[in-house]
Amino acid sequence: MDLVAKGHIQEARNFFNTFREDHEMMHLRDLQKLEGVLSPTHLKEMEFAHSLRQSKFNIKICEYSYELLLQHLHSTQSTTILGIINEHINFQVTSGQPSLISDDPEAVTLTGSSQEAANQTNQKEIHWGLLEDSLEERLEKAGALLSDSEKGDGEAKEGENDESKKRSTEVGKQGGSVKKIKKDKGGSATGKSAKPEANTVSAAPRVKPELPLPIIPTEVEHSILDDLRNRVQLSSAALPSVSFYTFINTHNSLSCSSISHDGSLVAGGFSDSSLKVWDMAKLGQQPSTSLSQGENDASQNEQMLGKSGEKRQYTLFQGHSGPVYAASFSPLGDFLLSSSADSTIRLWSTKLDANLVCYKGHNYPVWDVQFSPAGHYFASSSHDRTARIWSVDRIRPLRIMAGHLSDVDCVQWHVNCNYIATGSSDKTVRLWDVQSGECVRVFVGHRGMILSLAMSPDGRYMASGDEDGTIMMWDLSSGRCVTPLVGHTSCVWSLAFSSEGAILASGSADCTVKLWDVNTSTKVSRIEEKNGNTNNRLRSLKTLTTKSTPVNALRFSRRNLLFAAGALAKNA
Amino acid sequence: MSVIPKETIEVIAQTIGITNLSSDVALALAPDLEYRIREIMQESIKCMRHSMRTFLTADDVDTALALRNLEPLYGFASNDPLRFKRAAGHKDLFYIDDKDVDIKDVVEAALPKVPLDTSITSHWLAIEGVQPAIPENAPVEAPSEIRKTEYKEDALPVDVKLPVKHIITMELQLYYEKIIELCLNKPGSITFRRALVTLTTDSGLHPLVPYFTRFVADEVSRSLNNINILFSLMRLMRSLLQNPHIHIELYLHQLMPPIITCIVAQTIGNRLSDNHWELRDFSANLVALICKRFGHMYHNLQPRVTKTFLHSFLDPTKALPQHYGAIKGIAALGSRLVRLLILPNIEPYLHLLEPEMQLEKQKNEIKRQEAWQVYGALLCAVGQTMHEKVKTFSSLLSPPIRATSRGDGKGMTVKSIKHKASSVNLMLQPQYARRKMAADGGRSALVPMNSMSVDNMQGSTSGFSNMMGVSNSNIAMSSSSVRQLSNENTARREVEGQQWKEASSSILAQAWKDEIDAGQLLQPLSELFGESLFSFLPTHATSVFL
Repeated sequence: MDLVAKGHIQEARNFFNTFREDHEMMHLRDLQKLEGVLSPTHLKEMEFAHSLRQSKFNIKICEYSYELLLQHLHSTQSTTILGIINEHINFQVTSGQPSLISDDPEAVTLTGSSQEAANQTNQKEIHWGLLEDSLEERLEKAGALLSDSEKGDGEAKEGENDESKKRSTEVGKQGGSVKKIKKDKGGSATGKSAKPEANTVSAAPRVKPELPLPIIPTEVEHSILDDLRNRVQLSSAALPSVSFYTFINTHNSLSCSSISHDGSLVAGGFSDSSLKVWDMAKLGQQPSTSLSQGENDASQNEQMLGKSGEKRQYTLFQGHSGPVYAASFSPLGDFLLSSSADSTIRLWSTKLDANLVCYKGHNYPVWDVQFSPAGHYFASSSHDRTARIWSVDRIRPLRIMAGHLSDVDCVQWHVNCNYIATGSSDKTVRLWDVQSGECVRVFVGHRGMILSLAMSPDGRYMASGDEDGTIMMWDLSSGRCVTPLVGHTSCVWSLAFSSEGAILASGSADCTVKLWDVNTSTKVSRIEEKNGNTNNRLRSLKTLTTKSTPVNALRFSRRNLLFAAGALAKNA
Repeated sequence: MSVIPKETIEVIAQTIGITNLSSDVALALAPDLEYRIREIMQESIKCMRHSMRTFLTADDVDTALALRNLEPLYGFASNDPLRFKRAAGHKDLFYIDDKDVDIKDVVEAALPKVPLDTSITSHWLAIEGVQPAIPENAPVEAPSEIRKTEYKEDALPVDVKLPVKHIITMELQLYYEKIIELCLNKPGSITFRRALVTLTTDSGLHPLVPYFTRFVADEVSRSLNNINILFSLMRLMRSLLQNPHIHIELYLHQLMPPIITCIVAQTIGNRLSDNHWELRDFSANLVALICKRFGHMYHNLQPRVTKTFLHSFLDPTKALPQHYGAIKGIAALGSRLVRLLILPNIEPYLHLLEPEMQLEKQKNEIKRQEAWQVYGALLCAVGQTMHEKVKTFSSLLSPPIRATSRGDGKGMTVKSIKHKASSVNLMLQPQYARRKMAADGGRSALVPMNSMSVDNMQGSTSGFSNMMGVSNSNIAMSSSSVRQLSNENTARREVEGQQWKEASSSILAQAWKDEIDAGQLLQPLSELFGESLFSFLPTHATSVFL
């Protein structure tokens, strides 16, 4: 790039072609980007090249090899290389035995102002625990007084939080060998194992919501509680049932799909700017009922019926003026959000079948939108490299999260609503504090753009899937990758944790749904962390192949039934 | 420098009306153009990913252009992937076959059908982790070697459950392919024979059995007109059946249909040239082998097989080769079944068969020949039954009698025949003569024929029936010259009989031999039973004892 900057374009091209093969496997996409760079002006325009030139590379190297390298450089008197090293490479000399580079994910990292900040941010504390006073918790105490025990609960929780705080600091003192002191309130694995006799049910600490959350209507609450009671316990031995919704006759225009929490509503966003919602409950008994209902609907809403009077099976939402890239149902299924290439987000009511609000704020296509687990709030991510937090009742964003170096491709809420995670084309995943708008974690390790994110129900882990088919499981508290999951051969479009977090499901463009065992993987990783062995893999439980349907969306219902959706590809 | 040559820039410039573009400018523009194109394509790839597609469409490029506030492309509205064609002579030059469309054609063309509206269907991809076998789901794929190695690489000691019960090693795969190839291409070769021997003896073949049975079933239905392949397939089956290490009974349900097909199929191979009778015999024996081996384990096996045979035997609309196969099949299953199934029906059946065999009523030579074959099979079956019956009474039989009869078979004189004939039964005379005839073979037919004619003269007093002449085929034909006084029918047939005798004699020789055996054993039988046997089986008696 220095050659290019000084105008020696021909030599630069030669250099590039000579060394490209060495790096093709790891950094193919970066190379493709760089290949086009041919003039000094391009360098200025391209932010990727910019960041490369500005920052230094960290290379972990052991003492012995470092000495060898220095000797070699001095003996051959290659001053240019020395110059390059001084300018761009930062050696982290470690004493001890040489180890395999592949064992260490951080052996070669890009550093710079942003990276150092990332290291800083990863030190910040995170309250990854569940929300106190959640419904699950209430269910656990179902035998006890259900209605008026809230106060006592809250106090008890606070006490527990304090306890765990103390404990974690103690652990920090004891574990002097552990370099990174875990500051999270929740405490590490050792903290947990320290009190085996403690109530195992609510082992995960609770945190208070930092946002004012909407109140859930009691009848809905009862239905959710009912669902939770009837939940099927899933484990590696008891795999879930999967119901697959196949879109047919889409003519390759389906650009996203989404399933409501109870699986009864399925939304599809299309590249012709339309959004269609199917009610699966009506679909079964459609010939008899839709006739009577259709007439009522026709008076209410003309959008729903075609001019010919022919009954459609779905509700058509029109309003966007560009391909619809994402859709998200509210937790109760009464609202639907959609984001589009026209840089707007629209809120639709599935009860009224009408558009309620149009949120404008992004300047570029909005790639993803997600309702928070509690409803009311939602997050969006866009080509303009920001993620934004909105609330349903305001047309302006509440928070703008800026920091990614490239498009923000996907967004996901943490279960306690205090954080959002964003995946980007710059191959990082970031965790943001919703309250402050700050970035609190950066997860580096992917080799392609991030396409999907999922948070485990206990709030401790996060899974991310990229376009190469790799899924990575992250520990939120440490910011480290627990395990990479290799198995998919194409883009991972969607990820979903089962309701109690035992199973991770992943849907991919290679027409498969894979089920992964979360429990064993995390256990194994804990053991291996102690052993200093990082070579671990998550266990793949089952691969379910569809005929020729890439899996676009996945959703575990509260009763742990897995719903999947995708469009049938004709010539796949 | 840049992948875009400056000539391209010049051409583009000319198309938009700039003619005086200097080469320096073109040279400077080329790298920039490359950079812009790359940039746009990277943006379009992003759009493609967000549309959840894995192939790039013109729409994505349009969206990417729109992102940069550029004019979109026109004329590529299709959502289907474009079909690129490789330009002849260039390795990586592609183009889209864009045909000229006459506007008139488009206007006048009938309205195309409205494309189907998007809809949604739901099915169970899995129920508690198990994929149900419904048409919506992809079929459970066969295990591939690649997947296996993939699992092996996995460092974690996990208990991976493979979807199949057994895995075929590389060696077995090679073996299987070799056998298949031999079976199809070189059925007669020595290698194939050796392969068959290994099939009967090798103990490690069990994993391949399902594949073999499948292969045989497929191949039989495919190559019904190639008798050589059918024969080799049946040999293959027999070898597998004889292998003591294989539990082939698990696949009997797959095995039986192709074998039975080889017995009672309407047409096997070329009807004229191929000797499909032999194949039918072979397969019938195979069925008998199976029933013998596994009949006690699967009680409904033999009843089902015999039912199939009986159906084709008793159906007059079926072709004669089918009848032949059915008779052979039943006969192979044992004398008890012949007694139960054939003997009760033999009289009406022979009535049906008779016109087919007679020259004046059935002009088609092939059909007549077939009829004779069927007749031979019938005789053989009945004869064997007699044989069995005799055996059951063998304790009663005195060895000397059989010895003499056997001795007669070898060195036979006219006098001894005379003696026998007078002492035992007049009917036996021609039978002896025919035995001698068979020994000499059909080629040198004249000499024995003369001797036989003498016999016939002597025995003619008993009054040969019309039936008898027919049953004896060409022997009766030739001897009819002597017999013409007593039998008018045979005399008329004499000339033609001589003609076709030559063609069929070799085929018939086999059947005669069997018949002779039967007759030979009938001799003591008749000694034992005397007239009572003939009253039992009148037609049989008249036919066999000629």
